This record gives sequence, structure tokens and C-alpha cells, in this order.
Amino acid sequence: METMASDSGGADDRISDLPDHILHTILLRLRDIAAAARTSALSRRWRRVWPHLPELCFPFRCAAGVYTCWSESDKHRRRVDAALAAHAAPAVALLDIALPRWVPAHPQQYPEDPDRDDPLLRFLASRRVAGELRLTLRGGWHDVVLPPCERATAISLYFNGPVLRFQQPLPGGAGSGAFAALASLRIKRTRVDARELGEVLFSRCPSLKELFLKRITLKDQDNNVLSIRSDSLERLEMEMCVGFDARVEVFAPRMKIFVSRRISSGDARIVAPRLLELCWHGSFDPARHDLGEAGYHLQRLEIAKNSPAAQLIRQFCSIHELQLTLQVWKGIDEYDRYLQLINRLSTCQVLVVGFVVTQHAIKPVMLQFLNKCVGVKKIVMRSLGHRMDKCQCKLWECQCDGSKQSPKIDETALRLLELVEIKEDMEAYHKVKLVKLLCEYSAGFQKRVTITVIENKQSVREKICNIRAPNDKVVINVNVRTTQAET
Amino acid sequence: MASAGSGDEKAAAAAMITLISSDNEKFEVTEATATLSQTIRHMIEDGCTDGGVPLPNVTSKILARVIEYCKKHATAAAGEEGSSSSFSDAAFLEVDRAFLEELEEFDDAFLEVDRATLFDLILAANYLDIKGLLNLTCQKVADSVKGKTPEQIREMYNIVNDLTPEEEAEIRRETQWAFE
Repeated sequence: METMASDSGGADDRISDLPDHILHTILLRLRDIAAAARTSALSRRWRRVWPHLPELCFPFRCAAGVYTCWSESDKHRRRVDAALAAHAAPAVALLDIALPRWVPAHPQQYPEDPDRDDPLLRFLASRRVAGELRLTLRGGWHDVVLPPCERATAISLYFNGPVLRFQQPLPGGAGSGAFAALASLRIKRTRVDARELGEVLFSRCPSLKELFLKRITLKDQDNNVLSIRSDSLERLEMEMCVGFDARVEVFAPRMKIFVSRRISSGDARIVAPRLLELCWHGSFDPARHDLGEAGYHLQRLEIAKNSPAAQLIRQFCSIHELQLTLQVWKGIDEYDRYLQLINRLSTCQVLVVGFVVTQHAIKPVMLQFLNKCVGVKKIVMRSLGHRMDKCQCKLWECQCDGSKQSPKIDETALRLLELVEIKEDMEAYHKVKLVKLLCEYSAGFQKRVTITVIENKQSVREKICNIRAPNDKVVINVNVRTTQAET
Repeated sequence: MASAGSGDEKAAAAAMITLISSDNEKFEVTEATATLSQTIRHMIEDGCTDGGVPLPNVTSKILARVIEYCKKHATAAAGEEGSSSSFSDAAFLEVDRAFLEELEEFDDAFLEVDRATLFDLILAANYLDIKGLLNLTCQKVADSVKGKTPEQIREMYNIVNDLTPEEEAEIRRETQWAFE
């Protein structure tokens, strides 16, 4: 790196001749706002450069923890305050601030001063954030009242300690008091006033498209309802803490995508008549989770585990694409449960499946699955987790469904199939077997079926290439991962 | 479309673009390589690349280096496009680590240039609007400045200090927080 310091760049000052936006790119890449500000002492030209940086980032890292290194966090705070006060650009595209806050041993001795001057809140109120705002506050004990950031398009908030409040719009004040440009809002691990948040979402975020709520808690335990009403919202993602038990109400007439990694353990009602994609992790209980008015025809349903799958699939008239992991635990009961579940797959056109098979042989599991894919046009096999320990039967010849007869290939089952993709996370042995098994169905194919296997090992690729297609209805491709499957 | 496979590369190989440097040297490149430059991408979209694309701001020496960069990174960009899924999924988004490492090594070697060339590359990347190259070269300058005092930076880049002692004192006062 030092090689270029010694060579002759001539006596020209080429760096100062660069246009401002390139100098900004260089200063931003220092990833240190203080180092950027220090360049203002270079010359008159440079004095005007840093105060107009389009992005301001103040990360805070403190190995000792925020509560024990008070002097460090105080210094950081003063830096942030000074930098915000000195910054001169009328708009910043990104303001990313991490602030540690001091927590006194006896907070009641430090009453909140409503008139205290907070350069950060003043900066936000000046409406200069015309892009993204990321705010991480750790510690502290007062509520933090967010002014309306009218030009902010994306806001991410992570308040570990203070309660997030929203400043009420001032009557006759400047601007509309709304988050007029806000398209994406993310709130993480933050305590909120549910009623106030609901009100802001409902009436003060007219452009909101995406909302992410992750592990938030509610300030007021008596009013244990989280209500999300938005006419503009298109995507909602929720991942609540295990103990979150508030009633959740979602009313989003334009919502297309709903991702629920963990919703409340209380009741939930989701009204989203235009829903196209649903990702549901965790349990689903029709008695507590009401999707009744969600769209009847779903483009995509993703389910993490198969326990809620049967109930969820039943909620919709049709599902174009279904992604799920089929778990076949040990025992005949579990195997029967699996057989019941796969009965419902035929309504889908695209199946993206992973398998977790415990103490069952794979061939009958796969056979049963393929026999049920009656309406399916495309199958993507993502993964196969397989444990054979203590299984007494031999792989691929096993009759795992107990006393019942070994399943037979139903050649008509895959008649609509057009495409099969076998992803990498599968043992080579299983890939070869699966391709051979699919070939056994080929007499019933109505269209030419392309089977694409992703495999990085040359020896396995050769093995799969050597499988002879039984007729011209099967085309077998083997790709390495970096080149995507041809469609 | 999630199709960036070998078929597409073959199709792209057919479409060649001629780039003409300021000293009138001609370079034949694939469209996939050329379109890493947003400037050229727009020209192609507007259909004004017949007869070659004159680049009066870029010398043949620099253009050759820029093309070398674009060729390498065009393949990387093709790999990334395919892995788009509306839900984040580790299995799908996993990127080939070995390839990324190779790319990093290439970038490191690519930056082994004298300072005059580095600034020429920055200006070319800016003019051709190649974001990756601009970031890469600017990062190199940023790294060289990191941890240096204003005096050291001035000396390193031949910056003439035209501030009066009063102005300098004023700036130091204003930015005292940054020197602490």
C-alpha cells in the first residue's frame, strides 16, 4: 500500500482537483467522521469538502460495554453533537448514529428537562435527513421523542432502553408533521407506545410500503393491542419475542407480502385481501390466528416447519408456489402424518421442498411424495437431512411404512411436470438416486422434463451425466453452483 | 430473470462493442463487460454504439486497465443476479466464497499502480460511471490518508496550504472535537 507514497506523482496536487463528489466518496471510505473532518485543515479547498458530506455515520464500539466506560461514551456523544452542529449540507442521504447513553443509578434524581437541547433531535427536526435514518440508542432512561422526519425515506430504529415516542405535529407548525416520504420503517428491540405507533402508522405515514417489527415490546401493558392499519403498506415482517402476547391486528388493504417469523402468542387477525405471498414460521392455530379475509389465491406460501402446514394450506383456495420443509420423524404415526400432509400438495404448481427424514428409508418417502405431485409443474429439491441410525432396513429397499406394502410408482402422477431442480445441499448418492427415480416416471410425462442438478464435484457430475435418459422426454443437466440453472 | 447461465454468456459474446480511446486505439469488448459502465449502458440502450464508442477522456493505457477490471467483474455480476428471492434464505443467497476470494486478490493486484495512474483510474471510473471501480480506487486513497496528520497528507499529495494562520486556527477551533 505504501508503494505509491514513494513513487513520483509529479508535483501536481491532483487530489484537490478532483470534483467534490469524488472527494466525498474518498472521505466516506475513511469510515471515520473525525478523520474526514480533520481534512478541513488541509487548505481552503478542503475546508468546504467535509461539511457537505452526503452521509454521516457515527458507529460506536466499546468493548467494555456502555455502562462501564462512561468517559468513552461521553466523548463519542460530544463528537456526534459537534459534528452535527458543524455539518452544513442542506440534505443528507444517510444519517447513521449509534449512541450509548448513560444510565444513572437513581434515575428519579434526574428528572427529564423538556427544554434540554439535543443536537441530534434538533438535526432531525431540521428536516435535513432526505434519505435514510438509522438510530441505535443504548441505555438512557427518558423517552426519546422522534420529530417528524418529513423527507426521510427509510428509518431504522433500535432503542435499547428508552421508549420510542413520536412528537405530535404542532398546530400551525412548519410542514405537515407527517413522515411524508417514509417508505420503509424498521423497529427493532424497542419499547413502543402501541397506541401512538398505531396512530402514526395509520395517519402519518402516507407512503409507507414496508414495515419490519422485530422483538418490540409494548410500553403500556394494560392496552395490550398492537394495531397496524395502513392503506399504503405492501410488505409487513414481524418477529416478536417469545413472551410477546399482545393481540395483533393488521388491516392492510394493499399488503402483498406478509412475513411472520414469530407473531404474538395471543390472538392475531390479519385482514389483507390482496395478499400474494405469505411466509409463516412457527405454529398456526386457526382458533387464534385469523387469516380469514386474506387472499384466496396465494402466489407463494413459505412454511418453515410442516407442523402448521396442513392447517395453513387449507386457508387458501390455491397456492401457486409452496415452499416447505417436509419433516418425517421416526415412527409409523409420523410417517402417516407425512402421508396425510403430502395429499395437499397437488394444488400447487411449484413446489420448493426440503426433506428432514429420521429413521426412514428415503426411496419410499420420495416415491410417496412424487406420487402426490399431480398438478405440479416444477419441483425444486433444496435439501435433504437424513438420519438412518437405528433404522433396521436397508437404504432404498426399506418398507418404512411398517406392514403396508412398499409404494409403487404411479406413472401418471407427474404428467404435468416440466422442470426439476436439485440443489446442492443433498448427498451426491441421493442426487443420483433421485434422478434415476424420476427417470422411472418418464413414461407418463406429457411434456419434455428438464432435470437440473447443481453439483460442484466433478466425479459426481460425471456420474449423473452417465445416467441414460430412458426416452426423449427427459433432459438431464448438471451445473456447478456459480452458473445458475438455465430456465 | 434468474438466468445468467452459460447460454446467456454465449448470447452476450455475440454482441461486441468497440471502445475508442482518446489516442484512437480500438478495444473490442463484450456487451456484458462494457455495460459495467453505466455511461456505456445508456449509450447501448439509446442505440448509439454503431461504429464504436469514442471515449475522449480516457487514454488507451487507462482504458486497457479499466477493461481488465470490467472483464473480471462482469462474470461476478452475472453470478449475483441469479440469486434473488423475495425471502432471505441462506441456502439460496450463499455466494461462492472461493470466487469472491479470487476477486479480492484480483482487486488487490489491480491496485498496484503508481499514483498518477490511480488518479487517472478514478477519473475514468467517474466518467464511465463504474461504481465498483470508483469505490475500489477511492478506498485506496482513503487507506493512504488514514491515520495521517494534515501535514502528512499535504506532503503526500502535494497539497499547498493556502490558509492564513488565523484561518487555520479558526478551523482547528471549529473541528477541535475531531482532533481530540
